[in-house]
Amino acid sequence: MANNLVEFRNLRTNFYTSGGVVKAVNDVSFAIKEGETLCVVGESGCGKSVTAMSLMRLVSPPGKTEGGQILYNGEDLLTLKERQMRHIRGNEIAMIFQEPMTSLNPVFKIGQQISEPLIIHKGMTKKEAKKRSIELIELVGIPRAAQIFDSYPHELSGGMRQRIMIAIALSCDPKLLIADEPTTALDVTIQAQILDLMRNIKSEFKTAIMLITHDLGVVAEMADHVVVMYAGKVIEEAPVHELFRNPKHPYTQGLLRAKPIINQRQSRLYTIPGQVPNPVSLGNNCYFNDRCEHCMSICVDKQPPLNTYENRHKAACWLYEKGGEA
Amino acid sequence: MKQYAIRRILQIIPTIIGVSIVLFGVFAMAPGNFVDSKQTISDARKAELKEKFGLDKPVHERYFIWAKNTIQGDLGMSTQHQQPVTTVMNRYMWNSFIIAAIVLVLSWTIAIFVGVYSAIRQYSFFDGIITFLVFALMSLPSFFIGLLAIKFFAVDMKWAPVGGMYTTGSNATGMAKVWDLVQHMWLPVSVLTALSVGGLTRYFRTSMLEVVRQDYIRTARAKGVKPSTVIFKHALRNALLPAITLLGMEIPALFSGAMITEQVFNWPGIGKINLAALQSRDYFLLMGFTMFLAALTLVGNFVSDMLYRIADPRVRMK
Repeated sequence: MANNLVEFRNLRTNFYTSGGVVKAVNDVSFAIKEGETLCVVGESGCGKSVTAMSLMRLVSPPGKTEGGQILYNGEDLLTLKERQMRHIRGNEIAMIFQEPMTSLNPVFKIGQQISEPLIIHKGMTKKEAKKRSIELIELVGIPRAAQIFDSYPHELSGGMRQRIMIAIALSCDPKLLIADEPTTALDVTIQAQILDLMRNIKSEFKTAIMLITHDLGVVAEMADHVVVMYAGKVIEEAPVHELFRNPKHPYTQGLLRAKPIINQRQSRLYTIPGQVPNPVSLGNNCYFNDRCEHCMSICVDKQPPLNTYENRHKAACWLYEKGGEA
Repeated sequence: MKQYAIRRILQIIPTIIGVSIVLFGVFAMAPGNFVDSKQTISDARKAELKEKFGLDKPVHERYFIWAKNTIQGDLGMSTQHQQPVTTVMNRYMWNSFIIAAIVLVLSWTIAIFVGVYSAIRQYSFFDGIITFLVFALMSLPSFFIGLLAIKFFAVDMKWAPVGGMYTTGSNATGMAKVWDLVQHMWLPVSVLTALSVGGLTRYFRTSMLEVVRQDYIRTARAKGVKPSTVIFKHALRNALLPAITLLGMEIPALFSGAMITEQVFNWPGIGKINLAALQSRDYFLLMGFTMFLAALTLVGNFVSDMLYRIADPRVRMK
């Protein structure tokens, strides 16, 4: 079994807003194994992106990572000095973002932007960095690489820009690639191409991928392991086949039911009733209780722990606990 | 690029003709003239003078005479100074220019650094102090802050002369002359810098605040780039783009002089001369100087458009 590359232990990231403290990441623990693709799924605002930004230590005020550990190769990233952390960012852990249209600096050439991490982290000269950059542009499947090297971002399409972002992320051979909804802003054919590219990278370079998404289709296609988040907490975690075959948490079951199925005509797709709770006023209960069709009295009074069941399946739900029967 | 530049230059010609018609019309049709305002001369002599200066001709005829001479490089005689307009302008304009140029460099440098710093430390104590100072400086009128500075620094502390450009009667040369100039200059330069730095700081702060929230700044930080490089390479270049337009508008301001501040500090600048020309209806000086500023404004616009193309690849022509 592969070693843990990154392990989140009881991570807490809070945002201090005028409305109160938002626990964006609330006691989150999970691990990413070497060479594995881990998908984090959940609705908007459930803390997926903040978990990733906490890992990069790029949460900016009013947000603050205030508790827990993030172990990377056994070392706690949260205790590193800023200078040491900079050496990890873009070098050992790289990240691509949701919005390819705005993620590249409009006033610098593509080449400069790919070369930059190579010069910073690998100590390459401009000439070496240029050679490597052109190779990278070819690697992510863009023809006429030398010409693209001298182009500006506005001359490229969204799909091409996302490929460039991937090229930048891959430039220093990272151990982990964080992809924060990389295909959300792209149309379906380009989505498929970008996902193919990421799959190739994974098999070729053995890069672990932390893929943040709310698209279960993407999960089914890409993931080895899945973490489901809800209101800042991990509520279910399982290998991908296990999760799709046997979802335990009512929220995950709801998500899977809400997915459209090809060739099945439905006049209306299933939706989970209700809304994500206001993150400021969360009590000591199951955060899903008011939307859950199996809600019991204990769900309103006590928070369910994340317990491990058969087949490496973890879930936080009273339905599977002895306490739930009482 | 070249084609665009030529097209823009050609567009300047009709604009400048239009400007000259409007300006000439306004000045010529304003009531009173420099002959009528002199009460000591007889009516016969007045008629004679009006004929000599062409004031008896209809406005459109006068315009064409003026335009013809201007094209030939003759801006006419200043009635007040009894010298060609170009000589008068040349004598006073550089006095204004030296102050304006120093103020421009100082205020832009200070505003960029202070604006950037208060943007990256938004809502900090430093930012609060800066915001307070900026609004205090922006809300003070120039004559007030100028007089206050004279009272405090020149009269009470005796750190600077009360006014003028060189010590009266001094015939110093070389470095001694420069030193004399610096002593006379630092107070008006400080006052003008203080007046213009406020708005500029505000401008750069806002521009920077907008840029540091952009996705590409997050990308740069995620690449492991140093915070200072993120700010001064990735963010500042984008934040300065809209300031190019502002820089273009500073070109005429370099030569226009500061009417009120020059008056307060008794500085022999063109702003003061222009104000006096307006009061005595010195048409040719007024027309010459205002046309010169109009031309500089158009040049400034042209220059900023060109700079924009160089600095921002998105505006560049394919």
